[in-house]
Amino acid sequence: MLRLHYNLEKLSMGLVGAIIVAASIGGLVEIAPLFTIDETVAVPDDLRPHTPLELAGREIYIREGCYACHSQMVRSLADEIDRYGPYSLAGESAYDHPMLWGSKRTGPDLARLGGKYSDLWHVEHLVDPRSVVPASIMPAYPWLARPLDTGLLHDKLATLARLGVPYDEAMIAAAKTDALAQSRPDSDGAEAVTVRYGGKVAVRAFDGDPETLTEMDAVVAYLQSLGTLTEAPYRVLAEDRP
Amino acid sequence: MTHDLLVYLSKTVGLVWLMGFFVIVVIRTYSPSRRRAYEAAARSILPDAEETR
Amino acid sequence: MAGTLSIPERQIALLLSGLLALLGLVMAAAARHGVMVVHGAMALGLGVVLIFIVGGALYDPAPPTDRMRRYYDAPTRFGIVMTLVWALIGMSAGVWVAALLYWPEATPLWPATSFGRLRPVHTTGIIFGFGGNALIATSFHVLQRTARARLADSVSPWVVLLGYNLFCAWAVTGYLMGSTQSKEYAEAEWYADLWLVVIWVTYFILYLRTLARRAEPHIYVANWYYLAFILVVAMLHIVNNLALPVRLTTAESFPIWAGVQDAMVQWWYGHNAVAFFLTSGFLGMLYYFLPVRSGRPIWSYRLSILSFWGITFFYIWVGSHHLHYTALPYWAQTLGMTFSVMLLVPSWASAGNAIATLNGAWHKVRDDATLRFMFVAAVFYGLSTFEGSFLAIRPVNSLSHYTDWTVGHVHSGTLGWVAMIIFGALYTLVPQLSGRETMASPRAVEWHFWLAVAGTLVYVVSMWNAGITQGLMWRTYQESGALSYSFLESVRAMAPYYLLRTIGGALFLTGMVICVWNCRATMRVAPGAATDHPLVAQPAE
Repeated sequence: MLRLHYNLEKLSMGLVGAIIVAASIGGLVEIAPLFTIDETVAVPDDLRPHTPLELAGREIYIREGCYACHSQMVRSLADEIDRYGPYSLAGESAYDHPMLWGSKRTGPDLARLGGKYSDLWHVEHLVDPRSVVPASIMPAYPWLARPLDTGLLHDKLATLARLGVPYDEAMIAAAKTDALAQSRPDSDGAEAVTVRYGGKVAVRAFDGDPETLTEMDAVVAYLQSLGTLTEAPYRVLAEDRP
Repeated sequence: MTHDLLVYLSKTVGLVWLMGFFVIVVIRTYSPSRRRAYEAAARSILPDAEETR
Repeated sequence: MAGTLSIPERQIALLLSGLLALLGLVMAAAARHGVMVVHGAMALGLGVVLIFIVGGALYDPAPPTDRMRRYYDAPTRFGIVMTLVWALIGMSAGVWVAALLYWPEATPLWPATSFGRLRPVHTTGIIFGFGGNALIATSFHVLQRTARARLADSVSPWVVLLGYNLFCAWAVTGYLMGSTQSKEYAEAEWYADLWLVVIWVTYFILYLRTLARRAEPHIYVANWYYLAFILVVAMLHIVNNLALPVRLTTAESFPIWAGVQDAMVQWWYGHNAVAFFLTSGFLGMLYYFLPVRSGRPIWSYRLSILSFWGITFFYIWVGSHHLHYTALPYWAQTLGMTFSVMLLVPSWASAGNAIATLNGAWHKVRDDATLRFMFVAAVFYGLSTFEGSFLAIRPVNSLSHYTDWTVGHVHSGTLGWVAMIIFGALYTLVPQLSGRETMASPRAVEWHFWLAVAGTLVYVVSMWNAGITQGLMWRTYQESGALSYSFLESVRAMAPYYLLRTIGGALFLTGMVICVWNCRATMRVAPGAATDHPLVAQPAE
């Protein structure tokens, strides 16, 4: 064991070294410039982070593996722009840890989903997809009717803030109450949500029931927020197509 | 380190590195003096290493 | 297992088992609820079981003193068993989720059996469970044979294998409970990732220490490929999985990367998982088992070295071809595309080298299903690398991306290349390690071969059709300038292909079940004969 270092003769170590050198170049050349990409990719001025409720919905979207069948990345191709909407900008997902661009469209792209359907449609579609879209092959998610666990929301916002997402102290402190208030438009905290996250944030009883905060509230709030966090893609597309 | 500098380095040093690496590997692999060693290595895993030649 | 360890090694193993049990206990106690409790309990359970196994054998007679002059094959045997177990888990999950796309109503209304949670069970079960165990098991075998040396010690191979399988089990059970990072092929959460780093470093050190003991001056090329697999996978795994846990006592975490950076890192990882997990290591397998089984040296050893460096160097660049026309900078897409096309040269050099090796031994390929597995593997390797380079070209990718063509491409690689070469290696190794001339049923090997080939072809061809149909339907315009098809019409058009692919997968799975039965019968027949083989002396120069 002590002669280990001596025994690792030059050939095997040389081989190891050469493999590391050969394999790191590509990564360095391709990835290193992306670390400075903020110099070239502008984060849109009006980009807002997800509200706590939308973030909770995003976590459920991840938990259920929705990203395996739905992309959130409209490519800069004519048919995709016609089908889904303005093509996705790099800056749009600047606060997304992780990104959910996806790699497969067993179902349609969701990058521009927000506002396309009513809350009720989403609820029925998630509980029983074939009740609203008979030819759908999406699985049903009836268990989303259970109450939302907000226990970790405060820590999640704090963690994301440490990673550079612009959640301020007030947002972090109010994470739980904001999540609840966003699904209760008549409650006292409802206005505070729009103050903190902007007037365009949807404050509604997403699952139709303001009494209990469910996972359904969170998922629908998240789905309705897709593509609405910034106007930038619409501006850029309008400039492209005068 | 600005973005432009990094991109520039990627496009120059990266390319030289690529070609240099390629040349070194080809020379090392195909130098005639190593031929015997490589042929021996290819047979080393077969049980009848000596009989075959 | 414990019987093959010396007394001091048993004491070390007992200590390590205790530490594992303690780690599990601490994890479960600290987390108190959620996924981490279950995972802590799993580690605790494994630790306790190991304590009983090792502790119970602590004062058994020591192994024979001449064992240092023999190869250490017990870990390889265990690795093969785990390979077979994971193959059944991963492939069954695959066939089941494939069926759900045809019969979505069949999904039980139970969260753990939903498509989105089972899909990573399939990918992780196959890539890491089936592929990873096969790589580790065969690497131990190939390393010892080519170095003509016993593994450097007898405890660390078990640490690697048991620890690795604990990682796989953590990952898969985590998905079922809804715990995932959502990074494709790297879904396991932060503590499992950390655990894998420890295991992987142990593996790397064991590999180097054994190489250092070699009685053969040259390091045979198969080891180069295995080494690249170990090294680069470590690099990829660490960079891609950098994450900040929400709390140290919860499974949840956020990757430190965001947006476009995260996408680039993810696909740099994702495609190199294909390169260094699913290609490099398996080429190592090919370069050892193909010559051994056919009794012929590699057609050109030097070409194998050249393609080694080509693959190691080129592959690392190509990940960005997963992001054509996306928000990734254009130059990064172009680099990925260029290198993907160049990659065809070393890839075809490897495939051609393998096939040329068989030139002159075609009668053996005809008669020996095991060798035929390896031949088919080399052919599919050539086909899927060509397809890969083709799909990486930007305009082609605009059609194929997001469609089932990608799925077909991946499966032509995994079913046609990776699984076939594993079967070839298994059918070579299992009889040898069981002290037998042949498998228990050579006819069953034939059956497996034809089921596997038929299953792969049905699967791949149906997915090609599905993908091209989808891609064309999405981009077709009417003369009025409106899109011709709604998305839903493209979904409806997939139904026959999804049914066919399920049938293809089921055929492949049937072959696998036969393989498992055959391996079990072979390994059971003569347990007494399965002693370690003596080291083969280096032939005189």
